[in-house]
Amino acid sequence: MLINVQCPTVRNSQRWPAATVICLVFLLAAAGFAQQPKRRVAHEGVAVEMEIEPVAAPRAPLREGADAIFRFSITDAATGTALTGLRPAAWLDALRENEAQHCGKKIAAFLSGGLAARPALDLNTYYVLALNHDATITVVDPLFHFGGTKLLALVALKSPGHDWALTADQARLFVSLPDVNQVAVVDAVAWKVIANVDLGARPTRLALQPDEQYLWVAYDGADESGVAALTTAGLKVAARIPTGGGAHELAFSDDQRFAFVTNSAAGTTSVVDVRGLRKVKEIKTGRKPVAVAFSALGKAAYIADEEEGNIVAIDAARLEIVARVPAAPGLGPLKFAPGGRLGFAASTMRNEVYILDAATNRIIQTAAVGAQPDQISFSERLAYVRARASEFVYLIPLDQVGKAGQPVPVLDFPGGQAPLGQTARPSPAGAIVPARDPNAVIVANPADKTIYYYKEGMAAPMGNFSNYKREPRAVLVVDRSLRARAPGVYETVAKLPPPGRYEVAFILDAPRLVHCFAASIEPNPERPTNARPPRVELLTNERVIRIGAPTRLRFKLVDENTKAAKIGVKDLQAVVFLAPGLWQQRLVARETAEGIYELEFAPPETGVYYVHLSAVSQGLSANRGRLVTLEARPSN
Amino acid sequence: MRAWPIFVGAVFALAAQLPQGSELSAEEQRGREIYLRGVSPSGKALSAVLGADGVELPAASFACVNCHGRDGTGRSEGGVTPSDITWAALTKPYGVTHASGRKHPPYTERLLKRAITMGLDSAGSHLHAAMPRYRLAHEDAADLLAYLKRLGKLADPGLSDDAIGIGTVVAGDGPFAEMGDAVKAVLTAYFAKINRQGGVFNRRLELRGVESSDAPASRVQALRAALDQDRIFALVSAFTAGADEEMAALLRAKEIPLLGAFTLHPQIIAPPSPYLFYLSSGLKEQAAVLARFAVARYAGRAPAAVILHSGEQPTRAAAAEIKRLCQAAGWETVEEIETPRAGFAAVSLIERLRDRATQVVFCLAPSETQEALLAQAKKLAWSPDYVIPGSLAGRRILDAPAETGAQVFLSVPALPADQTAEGLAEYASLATAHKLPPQHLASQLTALAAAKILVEGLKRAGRNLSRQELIAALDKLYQFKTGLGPPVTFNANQRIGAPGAYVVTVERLSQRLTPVSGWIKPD
Repeated sequence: MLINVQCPTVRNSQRWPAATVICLVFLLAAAGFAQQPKRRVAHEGVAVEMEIEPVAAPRAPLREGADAIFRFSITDAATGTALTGLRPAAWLDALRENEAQHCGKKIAAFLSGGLAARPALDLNTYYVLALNHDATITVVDPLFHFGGTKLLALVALKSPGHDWALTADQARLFVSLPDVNQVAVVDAVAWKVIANVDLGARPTRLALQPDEQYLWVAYDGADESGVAALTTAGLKVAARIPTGGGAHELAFSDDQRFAFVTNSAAGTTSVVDVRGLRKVKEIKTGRKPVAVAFSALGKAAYIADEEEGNIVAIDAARLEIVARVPAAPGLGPLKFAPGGRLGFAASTMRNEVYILDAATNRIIQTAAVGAQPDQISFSERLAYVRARASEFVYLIPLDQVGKAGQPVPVLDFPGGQAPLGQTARPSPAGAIVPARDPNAVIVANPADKTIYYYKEGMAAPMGNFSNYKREPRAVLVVDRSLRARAPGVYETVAKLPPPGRYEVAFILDAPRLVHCFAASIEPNPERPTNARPPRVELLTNERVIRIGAPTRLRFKLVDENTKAAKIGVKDLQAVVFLAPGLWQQRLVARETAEGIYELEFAPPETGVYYVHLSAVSQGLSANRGRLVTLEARPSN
Repeated sequence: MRAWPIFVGAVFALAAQLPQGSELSAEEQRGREIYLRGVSPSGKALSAVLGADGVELPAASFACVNCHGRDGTGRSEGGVTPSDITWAALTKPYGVTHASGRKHPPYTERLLKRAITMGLDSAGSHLHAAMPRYRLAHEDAADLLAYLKRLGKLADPGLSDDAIGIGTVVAGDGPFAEMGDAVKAVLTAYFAKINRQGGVFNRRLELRGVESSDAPASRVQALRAALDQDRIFALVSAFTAGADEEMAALLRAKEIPLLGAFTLHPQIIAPPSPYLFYLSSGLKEQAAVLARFAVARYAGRAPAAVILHSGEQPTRAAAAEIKRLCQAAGWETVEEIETPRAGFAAVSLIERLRDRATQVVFCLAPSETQEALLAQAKKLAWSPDYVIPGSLAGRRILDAPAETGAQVFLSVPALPADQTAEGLAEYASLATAHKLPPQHLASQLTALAAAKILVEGLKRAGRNLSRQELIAALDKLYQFKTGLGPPVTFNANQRIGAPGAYVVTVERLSQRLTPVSGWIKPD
């Protein structure tokens, strides 16, 4: 929201028209009253301009609960040239009374990982999406660092989704709905289904070609089986290309000229010309091809055959089989590690992983993993293998493989309690995906109805959250940090918090720029005022407490609308727990003066304590309420 | 291997010509020159207009290749991602949507010419500000367009769908002929093994030996003739000693990488040639290692020292390096003495050195000189410390400790500890299977190490191979272990894979070599 007051010009006028006078008065009042926030800052040759704009109505005021775009335009202050390739970060935080905290200190606290500081909005976060067993997708802000989660949206589909594909700009999500022969198109900003494209056949696997011109939809019907190309811009079926019977998997050549489509029942792989939208070749690759992956380094598509146990290489230039590599029967997944040299295949019969070197077309290493390995994914450093009949996730360090004949080190961690593939409705989409943080992944455990967060190097997941009573069959991570949308323009979308005065803390690492922009959010007139929970003000400043000593916390409850103290709240409660959930205590607060409430507890041991406040009568829930963080140290 | 005598033959004036791409028409060939160099082959005006201000500069500073790369796919740099300008990418029937949201329909020749000259894409939108607008003549524009249609589809010479021609250079006669045969034999054996395993990305490695008489000039001539036939993609273990400068210039002109040249005189100049990948230090680097070792060994004592050398390159440069480093460490008496091959008067030299209480003799002279010196030193019972680059040390030097009580220190580029059981077993199995000659074992192991590094580079470069991709892949090798020598690292500034050396001493009784230092770097 750029503050843009246009006043009629007075230069050529002898008399001041009324409109001009009113406008000037308004400007003066604004300047004197609230000090109209400056939205542009320049420092050491770099200029940053901030706008906050509601998604639904760009010129509307900022209201609580609305989705808003936070936009930072970063330019060279002298020339106005857009500065590209930067990594800015920002937070929206309540502007507290009498707060003299330096903007830089506030940012340092946010950056330190949020034990003691939690902003109203983290604009550098990511969301976790779960493809559920029912006809929904959960969109969750995982808040792994804080405990607790926030359900941001529950996207309702026409029928349960089978596979999904997210555009690179993370603005659109496509979901195949086999039960209704449609592909749902989800707006990944507003989290709403914006279209359901009819295919007239049962869609299964989805794949976006790298330039995203077409979404390829595999379909497998009784009378026809093949792939359809759906234009991502117009959402029209541009072509339906029958390829052969059975289930299909897809991969694209890196120049996007060809799509390689396996036909499991026909025992063939079809080569589809992406530009001409026609099948150009059908290659017999084995009795039951079940996986295909393209090696950009080897310029070849590799196809795993479940029955014959071979991996076949098709040269992307000649479209001919150039190698047939024996592995083992029961082959399932096949993926290339980053770099495109080492391919990872697995046998669900032998419970082994085979590492193929595309340079020599040989299996150079074999590793034993858990029962029925059926999915493989990669982080920068590790290969992750899901074994569907095991609750363990198997890890293979990528820097320790690649030498023929050497043993493969395999690590594991429990990804919950139930076997990871235990679901009545399996999905081919990834259940282990890289988190946005480096060297971390998100793991879906359908039977546990839980999603786990695993940080590499640890023996067990660092955190988890319940998927709101639904079976997560696959997960996706949507980055909601500031991303370049145009040269020098960095944006993200977030849901605005309750009304009040805020500041947007902004940091740019190189070139260095730290600034807090003022912002204010208005109440939503359509929202009943009593539905808005009171504001909680912490009156106790001491954040370091002593073991065993009674600790007293005092709060003030303030009505957000009247700004008056909220008197007589009987159900103000607190849950105090020692991170990460080692000990907890539930307390009821006493009102000690008008609108002032008090809690008392004695921390049993050292550590970080979280205090979540809730008052059901006031609409203050533990998840959305104020969180206080305390650190307990030994008494001297 | 000994230092090659200075090459005084005719220096070939290398025409600064670009390597001929295979099957390019004259028009495409001219277009290629514009793409790679930003100059008009016919000498017409060619300039680049930059930014909104319209600053006009010579196009040579803004050659297409600088941003779009040799294959036209573009490399991101400084936050700018140049477009993929291969003809297939530009003419996608459904157009192109850039990450920035800019969209445009497929290009035609006419529209591409407009993009190059006026900075407008096929939809009429302005291209990124980093793309200059080029002012060029009609004919040059036509040539450039002809070449752009071939961009990314051209294979480098020596490369086919199913084979890679790897050249080596050996002396067919003279004292190094036998060594050349051994090197060729081990390379042939190793490539046969790789090919039996399916080659590299479905291409066989074919060894193309270039043989000539021992004379450096004829070796250069033979290599040039071989390269002109366009059957060599890259070179390995070429015998460049004595003709290092000429070979380096030839390879730079032809843009051909060479891995593991046999020489004591690596061409490490500024800026270093991106085509040369040496395995171990040359004489100058070894000299620096020895000087550093000596400075540390005689810490704070600053002994009188002498540097004996033949007066020929590269020993002259190595001597200067020793002198510089010793003097920098505060040694006051560091004398440089040229010892001619013929008529070397050892007695008078020793007497003179003894008068000056010389304790350290850096000996860069040939083995004949070393022998004469030692024989007289024994008679005169003179026993200084000898510090000698291992590659110059003659057999007799091993006797010096026993005969005169002198200490001898040698620089060596590898220790047995650098050779793994696996690496040696690989050589042994090749030796058995291919009946490799028992002579020149060190040269064979060096050649095998070079070939292994080359194959690793080919594996990392991928199926879409080019000389530039190979060079880029080799330049990313970090601490790569061949199992036959110390690990190697290459990058744009490090052209010697394992720069530095160990220092060993000769045991008086057993004549065994014992390490007296860790790995010492020359700088």
